[in-house]
This record gives sequence, C-alpha cells and structure tokens, in this order.
Amino acid sequence: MEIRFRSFLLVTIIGLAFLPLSELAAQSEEDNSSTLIEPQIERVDFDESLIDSYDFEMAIYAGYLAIENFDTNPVIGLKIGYHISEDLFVQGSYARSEVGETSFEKLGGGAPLLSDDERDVEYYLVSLGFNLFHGEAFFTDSTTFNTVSYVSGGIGNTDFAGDDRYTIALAVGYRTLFADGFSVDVEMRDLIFDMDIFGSDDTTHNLELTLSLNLFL
Amino acid sequence: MTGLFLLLAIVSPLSQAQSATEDESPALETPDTDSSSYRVTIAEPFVEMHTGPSAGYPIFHVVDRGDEISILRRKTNWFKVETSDGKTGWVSRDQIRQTLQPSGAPFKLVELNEADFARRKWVMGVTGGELESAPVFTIFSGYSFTENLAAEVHLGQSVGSSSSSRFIKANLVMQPLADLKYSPYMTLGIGRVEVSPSSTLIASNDEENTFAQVGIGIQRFVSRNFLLRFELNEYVIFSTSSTSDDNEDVSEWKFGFAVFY
Repeated sequence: MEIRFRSFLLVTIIGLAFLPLSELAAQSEEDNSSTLIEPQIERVDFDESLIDSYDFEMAIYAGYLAIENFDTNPVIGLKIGYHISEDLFVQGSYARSEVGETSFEKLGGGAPLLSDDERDVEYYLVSLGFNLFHGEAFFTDSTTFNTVSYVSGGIGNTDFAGDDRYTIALAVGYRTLFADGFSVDVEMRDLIFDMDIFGSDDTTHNLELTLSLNLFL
Repeated sequence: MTGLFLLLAIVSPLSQAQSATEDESPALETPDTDSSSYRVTIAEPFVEMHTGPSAGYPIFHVVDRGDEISILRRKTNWFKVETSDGKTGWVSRDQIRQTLQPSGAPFKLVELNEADFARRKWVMGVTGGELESAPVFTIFSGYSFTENLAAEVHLGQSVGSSSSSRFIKANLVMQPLADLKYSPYMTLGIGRVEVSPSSTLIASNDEENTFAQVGIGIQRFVSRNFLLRFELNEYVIFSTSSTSDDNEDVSEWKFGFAVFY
C-alpha cells in the first residue's frame, strides 16, 4: 500500500515537472500553425475631438443692481464662461446700468452730485467659480431637471461717477439645466469697490440680483 | 466700452483654439450608425451611468461588459451616452478609458497631461496684484512657438487713489525648463500706458506713455488644462509729461491663473 502510494506521488511529481515543458511545446506548435486568438472585444478608433463638447458657455443676463447710497436700477450684461472640470469654471462678465439720485439730492433740491455721464455704471469682471452642490429639481412627477448651486469670486473694474474702481465680486448662484445646452441661472452678486464721491474713501457693497439665459457650445 | 473690448479679446483666441484642434484631428471613417454619435462596446466589467455630468449626480443605471453604447456628447470629463435600450446618462472619462482605447495603446483623447502642458499652444488667463501699491488687474492671451518661447499680449488696468491707468503690453516669454512642475520663466515686454487722474482731483489731462518691462515668474501646472502663475515685474515708463522729464520706475507683483489648449 505504502509503496503504491509512494510511486503514485513520484509519478505525480514527475508529471508536474514535465507539464510546463509539454505546454511550451504545444504553444510553439500553435505559433507555427499561425492560429491566432481572436480578440473578443471589437477595436474602435475613437477620436474625442469629433464628439460635440459643451465646455464653453455664453449668456445674457438682466436684473437689478443696487448701488450703495443711490437707488436700484435695471442692469443688463453678457457672460462668457469656460468649464475646466465638472467643478471648476472661469467666467468673464460685462454689464451696464445707471444710477438715479441719492436721497440727499432728492431732499436737498440743490445741484446734482453727478453729471448724466457719470451716472452710467459699467463693469467687467473675471471670476473663478466652483460648482458646490449638484442636484435635481422635480418639476412634475415625470419631468426632472439637473441643477447646480455654485459660488464664484472675481476681480475686475467698475466705471462709475467718472472713475475706474477696482472691484472684487463674490457671488452665489443656482443653475437649472433645462437641456444639456441650455440653462437658466439666478445669481446674487456682491460688487465690492471703494467710492470717494462723498469725501472719504468708503468701501461699498453693491448687490446685484440677476437672471441669465445660458447657452453651452 | 473698454470692458466689452476686453471680453472680446478673451473670446477670439478661444474660438481660434477650438477650430485649431478641429483642423488637426485626422479624418476618421464615419461610423456605420448615425453620424452624430459613436458606438462602442464596453470593455470594463461595468460602467456607472449618472443622471448628470458630475460625480455629484446619482447613479441610475449600470452597463455591463459587452453592451453597446453610443457616445453623444462631452461636457468637461463626462460623456453623455445612450444604451441600446434607449437609456441616456453620463459616464466619466476615467470609467470608460479601456472602452475607448481597447488596444491598450496610449489614450488618444484630447486629454492633456504634463507633457502636453509643456507643449501647449494657446494660453489665456487672468492675473491680479499690486502695481506700486495700487491694485492691478490683467487679462492675457499667449501663443507658444516652441516649448521654451512664447508671445503674450496683456491688457491691464490699475486703479490707484489719485489716478487710474490702462495699459497694453506685448511680452516675450522665455521658459528654459518647461518640463518642471514649478517652471520658472522670464519676460521682456514693451507697451503703452494711459494714465487718467481721478476726477475728484483738480482736472488735469490724460497722459499716454511708452514703457518697457522686464520680469520673472514661476508657473505651476494644476490640472489637465489649468495653471497658476506668480510674477514679479519691473517697469520703466518713458515719461513725456511737461512736468517731469525723468523716466519712472515702477514695480509690480501679481498672481493669476490660466487655461491652456
């Protein structure tokens, strides 16, 4: 019994030792007979530049701009954006508005503080934005739109009361994507700049609430 | 009005850059299905479909290996795909990497890596900083002739307490070690500056002068098409004003970011 078991082991070991060799031999035979293994996955030549991309964004926006110490007036502007990643985007904005009279001018009835030209407000900004929360809005039980809440910060210039004013802008916004290439954004922006028309250099916070129509290209 | 002009200055190189990449792409045989989409067979064990182009949107469907999908469009790193049973959703580029290049060859997509960063052609960006203690704001656009030499145009504005100035500058940028992650560069430039005194001061005339500039900087590649830069500049303004004939020396620091193609 023991001998039988031992010889069985021996045969197994020898067999195992020769197995790789015989396998190799089989393989080289196969190479010679030029039978190749067909890949199971179909190869494709795919060029990403032929796929439409939606990384650029153009928008018109309108809303209200409140200039500190002056009144609130309509503002209209343009935005151009580029989406760097799913979270990060850069955006340039340009807008125009104008201001009315300060309370002082209305009550005092004296000479106006600013000329008509100086009442024009024009600003441009370049901002870096961050998509904070992605979500969905359920309009009806079968209609769903993707949404994004974003924050952005930027720098630029405001031309108001005859002078250029270095401007820092902070914004929060809510975007609803009605289609892959079209969204409507509601944005609240704080335009922070120094104003010296009342004698001293004061930092003013000028709030702007806008609605924009965005096209992705 | 200047603002609008600046915006246009941003856009024009962008559209050029886009058309440039389109021109360079080799003509591919049109797939047998409709021309606006590409059919590929999933090579990964499974691919997750999200409801929107971000990891923040929920996964609503999973496609298995061997299933066919059509690629419809792209938004940043996400592809909109349609399954054979008509479900549409978004998959990330990372998840279908093997599917798009099943031969295992290097990924041919427009995706940029650090080597591409050194080979980039178009760059555009924004900087903010201080010019003689007054805030300064610049947008710029550039084109690289080689990986070490580029030309840039800068449009800037600086708003001080007594005056504000606008300038346009043409720069030559030399970047000797373009492969480094933190890559130093030197700049030489000339330009024109227009200085308008603040309207609250006694009215005086605007002044326009030529200047020369020399600078050093360092830039750092952050993501696939995004870089940060820090720059120190020294300006010599060739003053032509009636009050002073001396040249004016001005120094500037600024920090900014740029997108490249």
